[in-house]
Amino acid sequence: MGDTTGITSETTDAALITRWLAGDQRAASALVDRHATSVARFVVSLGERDRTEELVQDTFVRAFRAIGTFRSDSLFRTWLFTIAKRVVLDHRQSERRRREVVELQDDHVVTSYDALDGVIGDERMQQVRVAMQGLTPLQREVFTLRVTEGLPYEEIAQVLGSSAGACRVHYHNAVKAIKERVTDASV
Amino acid sequence: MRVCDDDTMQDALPDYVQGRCADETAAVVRAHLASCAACAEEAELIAHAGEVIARATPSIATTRILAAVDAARASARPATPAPASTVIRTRRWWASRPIMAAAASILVVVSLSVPTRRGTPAGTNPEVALERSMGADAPGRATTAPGAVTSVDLAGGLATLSSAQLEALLSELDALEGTVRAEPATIALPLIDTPELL
Repeated sequence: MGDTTGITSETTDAALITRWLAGDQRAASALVDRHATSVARFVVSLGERDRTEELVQDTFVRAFRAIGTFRSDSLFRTWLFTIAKRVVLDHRQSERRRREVVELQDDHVVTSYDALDGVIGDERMQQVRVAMQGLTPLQREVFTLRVTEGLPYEEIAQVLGSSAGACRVHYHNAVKAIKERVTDASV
Repeated sequence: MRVCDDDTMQDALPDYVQGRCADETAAVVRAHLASCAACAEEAELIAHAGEVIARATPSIATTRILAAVDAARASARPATPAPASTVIRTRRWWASRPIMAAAASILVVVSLSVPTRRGTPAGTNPEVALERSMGADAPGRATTAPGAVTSVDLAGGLATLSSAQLEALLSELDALEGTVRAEPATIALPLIDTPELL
């Protein structure tokens, strides 16, 4: 049976956005299906595993609300990551206000990062997981966007408000740090 | 720890490991990995790291996300626009432009008059002093018409008025008891006839 919706994996994000703006609800469904897991992985890399679903949901709500401002010269997924980062920071800020605790800026502190705690039986993977916990938040974000999402450094720079060169350095420092820690753990 | 100096290969590793490379590029990277222990080790770590992140990511219920998006869109839609008359009625009476302008003028004049008033000898009736000091055609003389607020020729600025004239002006303002006597005859409020903007 043929696809009656006219939406396939070949349909571009820009075309889906146009269809959604014209009132096609299936286009929104396709966009969410296509990108929700990527956004979730990024949110986890930001250290927010416990609130992943809530934050991913907020990201899409905010994105669809502001979709008129989306410029098609950048990728929709990159734009979603930018919004996700903002959503996470906003949530942290409101939580800090509630707790009335003053903290250092995120980029300057190595937070406790237990998002990757899971039942991982493989010893080598356990070593990698522990090594990743030692990365700075910025290194983790760059590493995740590069490895699991395949973003080029220019787009990572857009998401994190940095330069492509700096992101490349962060990525290689992250890989080097993971390598060193795994090597140390193996000795 | 083994190290490779081939930046191009190192940059290509994440895409190779995740299967995102074109066939030709993948073949080149594969050939490099066969002869470079450092990159082979790095590729293994990247694969493990990707797996760790994937396992740590909870599954997402997209139906809930879509419901939230729909709810947000529905709440952002304008409700039935209120009739223009309702909108006008909700305006505060003192927020109309003529009344605000009158209030601002009174405040300015009163504030400029304070030093003069402080210098008036005790027991002096300002109106009497005004009558004494001003001739009928004295410049800047205050004139009062029945039922109208005193108007003073301020073309030369407050600095050209004598103390007595300023006192007289102050007295007139005092007589207003701090309020505007009446609403303006007509208040020109813009009618909102474009409901789509509401």
